[in-house]
Amino acid sequence: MPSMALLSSIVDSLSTLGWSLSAKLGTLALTIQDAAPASVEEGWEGWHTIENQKIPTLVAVVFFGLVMFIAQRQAKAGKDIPIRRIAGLDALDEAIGRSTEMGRPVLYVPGIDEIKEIQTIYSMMILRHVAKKTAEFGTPLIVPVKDSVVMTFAEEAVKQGCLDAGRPDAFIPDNVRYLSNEQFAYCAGVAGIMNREKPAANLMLGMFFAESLILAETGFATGAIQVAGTAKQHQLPFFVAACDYTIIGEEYFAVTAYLTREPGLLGTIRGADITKIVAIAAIVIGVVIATMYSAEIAVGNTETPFQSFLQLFAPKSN
Amino acid sequence: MKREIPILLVVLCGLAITWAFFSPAPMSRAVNDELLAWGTVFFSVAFLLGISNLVRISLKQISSRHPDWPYKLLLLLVLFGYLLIGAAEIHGWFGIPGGENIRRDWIYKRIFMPLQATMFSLLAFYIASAAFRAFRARSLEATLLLTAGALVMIGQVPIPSFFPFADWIGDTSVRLQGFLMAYVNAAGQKAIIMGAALGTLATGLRIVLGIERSYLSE
Repeated sequence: MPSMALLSSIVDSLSTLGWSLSAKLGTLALTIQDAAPASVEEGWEGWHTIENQKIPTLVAVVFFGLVMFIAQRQAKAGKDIPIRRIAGLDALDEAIGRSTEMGRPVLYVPGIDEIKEIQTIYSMMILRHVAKKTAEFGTPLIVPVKDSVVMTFAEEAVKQGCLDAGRPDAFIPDNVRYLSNEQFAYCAGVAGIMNREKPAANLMLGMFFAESLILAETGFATGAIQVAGTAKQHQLPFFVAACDYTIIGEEYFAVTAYLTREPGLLGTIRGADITKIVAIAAIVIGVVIATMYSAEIAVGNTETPFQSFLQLFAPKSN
Repeated sequence: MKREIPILLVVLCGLAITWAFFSPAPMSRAVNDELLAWGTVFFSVAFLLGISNLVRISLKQISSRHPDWPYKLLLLLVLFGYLLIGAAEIHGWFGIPGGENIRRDWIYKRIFMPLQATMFSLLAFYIASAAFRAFRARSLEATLLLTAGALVMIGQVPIPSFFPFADWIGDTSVRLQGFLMAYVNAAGQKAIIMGAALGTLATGLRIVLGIERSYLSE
């Protein structure tokens, strides 16, 4: 059929031009074929067992899940869970308010990673809150994206934010813009938007790489108030140097709980804090035992670390 | 049902991937690969959505004579021009022998890569301007940052031999730089990594268990 031939020709062209849809599908098919078990019985063999080296990870995840679940139940039962003030999150409203006063748009950059990255998923949740605020204030929101799947998520998040604000008309489809799939082409595109459209607030929340400082410095040069947030520790110094407010590491994952104050979400934050205290205690105990053990080995004593630890509290025999 | 079914799908997929991580069963690996394959298919198809977004917005701006319309026109010309050159090279159109990639390769290596490198090289200037602002000794913390930054920088460069006490300054600055990077800097970074890892785990569990639902439409 001519139409099928045309379609095949387009797919061929796309795949050879780097958009290797058919190549990817072919490779994946082979991968699945390789991974697939020979029979159903063989496939289910060992389904209830855990790889030995992953048992500590499973224990940690189950412990963390339990703590989070208990803290969440307590929060839902009405227990007050205080959450410390995070300047960067308070600044989100300030930045949007400033844009509204100046009659200029807000720019939201969701990072450059794909949607399978947890920071990008979380960025979409924050985008919904930002879109709600901008819709309430009637301020345009520009969202340039690097990935086409992220684009569809961003469109949905902005649309939903406008609906949350009761202003579906505030959603402007052309303001969620796919720029390029290439890192520095995207970076150049965003820098161009900053220079040409002069947003009064730049919100950079998500996963960033080498482009972080280029974006933050360009935004600084345009005089915009800048709020950045990422859990990528290598990019944090750049944001701290160039932005007005920076949401650091774990603070980034507390945004929705902080903004909505929903008890269920606050409970999970408390659960994470309790786990962190346990982890810190485990690290301190581990450091003490390891230090003692290395000292004992040095003098030729082969007691176990726990025995060495107990020796510290044993009565002295004179 | 509009919310429950997507949440159920998220929970099932999340549990399947988690099971695949912990279990050695071949079936768990097959399920994991199958789900990842679906994801890749979605990604590949969604690429066309991205292009349609780009073309739609560009055409609108060209037709409304937006101030940036010449750039948008150039963008569309380059997008479809490259596509046409690629198709011509693959299928042997316009007298070009089929199966070649000389022209595409030339455009990519001689135009696109230098442009990318140019953007990347801007970082050097941006680092200088950001450091200039960050290293101003306006407070105790900023002074400490300035001192630490200066020590690390001195530790990274050779001290010319005509400097008095060049050997001593060289050795000491290298040791100080090593100490700052291996202990002070690494400790700070690891604290951030630990917090972020717990945050990631908490967010993952919140999504997989259906506690966090703000990614869904009402």
